Amino acid sequence: MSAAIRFDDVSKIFATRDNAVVAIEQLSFDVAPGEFVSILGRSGCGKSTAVSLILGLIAPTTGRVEVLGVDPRAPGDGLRNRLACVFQTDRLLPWRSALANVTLPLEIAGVAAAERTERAQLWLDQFGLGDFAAALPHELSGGMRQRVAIARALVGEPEVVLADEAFASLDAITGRELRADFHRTAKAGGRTVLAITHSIDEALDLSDRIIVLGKPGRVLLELDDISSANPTRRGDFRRAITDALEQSPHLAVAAE
Amino acid sequence: MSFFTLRRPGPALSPNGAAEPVSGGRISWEGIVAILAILALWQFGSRVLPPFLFPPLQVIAATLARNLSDPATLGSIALTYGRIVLWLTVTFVLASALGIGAARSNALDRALLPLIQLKQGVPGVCWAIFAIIWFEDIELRIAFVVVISTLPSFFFQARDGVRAISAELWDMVRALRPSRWQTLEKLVLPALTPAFLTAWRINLGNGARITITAELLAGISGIGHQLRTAQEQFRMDEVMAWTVIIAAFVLLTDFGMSRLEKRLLGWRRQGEDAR
Repeated sequence: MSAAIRFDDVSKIFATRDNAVVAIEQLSFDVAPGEFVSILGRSGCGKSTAVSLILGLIAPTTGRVEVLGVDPRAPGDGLRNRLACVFQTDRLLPWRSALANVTLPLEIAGVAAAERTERAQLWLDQFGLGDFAAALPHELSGGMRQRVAIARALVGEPEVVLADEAFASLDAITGRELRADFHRTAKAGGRTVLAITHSIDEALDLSDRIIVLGKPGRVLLELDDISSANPTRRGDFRRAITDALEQSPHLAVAAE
Repeated sequence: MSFFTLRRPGPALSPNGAAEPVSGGRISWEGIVAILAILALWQFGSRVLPPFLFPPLQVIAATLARNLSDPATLGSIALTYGRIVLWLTVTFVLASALGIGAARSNALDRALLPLIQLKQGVPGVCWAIFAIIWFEDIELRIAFVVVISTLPSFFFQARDGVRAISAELWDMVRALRPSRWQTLEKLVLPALTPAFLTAWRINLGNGARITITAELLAGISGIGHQLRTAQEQFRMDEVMAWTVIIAAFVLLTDFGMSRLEKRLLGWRRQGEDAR
C-alpha cells in the first residue's frame, strides 16, 4: 500500500540576505493511510515548514514530497478536497459567517449551493455550533472559531488532514476538549492525520505514532504503537522524547 | 436623517495623501450655526452690495428651482453626473486591475510606480490642456482628464489593499487549491471592499470637481459649460445655483457610500482594520 504522505530525502533551505537557513535536512518519513502521526519538536525545528511542503505552499530545495501519490506542487486539482489543514490560528475569513467559512472548500470544489449549506450545517452541528451558523468570526470565542476552522477542514471529507499546532493558541481546558473532538471526527472514516505539535501530552494522547524532529528538521526518534501503550510504557515514551528533544542541536546555518 | 456629516474634526488622509470626504455622522449644532451665519452674511451682502455680486438667496433659490425643472438644464445635470459615474467606473476597473497586478508582481509594480508618481507631480489643469490639444472629441477630452486624475487613488487603494491581506489568509486559501478567479472572488475582492469604498468616497468628490473643470475648460455641454456661460453673462445666481447642484451630488453620493459601507462592512468590529 502506498503512503498517504511521503517525505523522500527532503531538504528545505531558506535564503536570507547574508546566509541560508536550513529548515529541513534530508528528512524522510512515510505516513500510512489511516494512520494518526504526530510530529513533535522544539520551536524552529522545521515542523511548520513540513506542513507548508505538504500543502504545496513551498517547494523542497531537494528531495520529493508526495501526498496520496501526487506532488502537491503539481498543477491541477489532484489534491483538491483530498487534503485539508487546521492551522494554529483559525484563519477564518472575517467577512464570512461561520457557515460561509465552512462552505468555502466546497465552493472551491464546485459543490452545489444547497448541498454545501447542508453539509456545512451538519459539521457545525457536530461541533455544537449549529446555532451560530450566521455568526461572524468576531462574534465567536477563540475556541468556537477554532471549531469552525476544524469543521472547514473536514467538511470536504478529505483523505488527509494536517493539524499545525491546531490547539496551541487555546487555553488548556478548551484545547483538551477540542483535541478530543478533533481526534473523534478526524479519525472517523479512516482519515490519515498528521499533527504538528510541541506538546508531548498532545502527541501521546492522540497518536498512533510519533516522529520527533531535531534541528534542523531531521528525525531524532520514532515511536510506534503509542495508542496501545500502557501507562508505564507511556512514561518510557515521555522520557525518551524529553531526552531526544534536550539533545536537539540549535538552528543550523549553512555556509554563506 | 441628514446628508451632512461634520462629526470628525477634519478630513482624514488616505494612504496616498488624498483627503477623505467627511462623512458618517450627523451635523453638529455648531455646524448648523456656522452655515446659517454664512447664509445671513450673504443675505446682508445682497442688500449692501450690487446684486450681480451677491444676489439675494430667494433669487438663487428661484434659479435653482428653474434649473431643476427645465428639461434643458436637467439634461446638463444628467450629462455631467453620467460622465462622472461612467468615467469613474472605467477608471475603477482599470486602476483596480493594475493595482492588484502591481501588488502581486514586483516587476509590474516597478514599472507602474514611477509613471503614477510622475502623474501625481503634474497639476490637474495641465491634463485638461493636454486633452484640449490632443483630442478633438469633447467626450474623449473629459474621459481622459477624469481617468488620468482619479486613477492613482484607485490604484493605490487596490495595490495596498492586496498587500495588506495577511499571509495566513493567503496560505489558507491557497491550501484549498482554488483557481486564480476563485482566489480573486473568495479572498482578494472581499478583502479589498473597504479599500474600494474608501477610494470611491475620495474619487466621487474628486471626480465631480475634475469633470466640472474639464467641462469648463474643454466642453460644450454639462454643468461646467453652464457655469462658464453664467460667468460670461455675470449671472452670479446661476453660478451659485449650479454650485449647489454640484455640492448636492457630492453630499448625496457620499451619504449613499456611507450607507453602503455600513451594509457591506458590518463584519468589521469597531475600530478594527478591514483585513
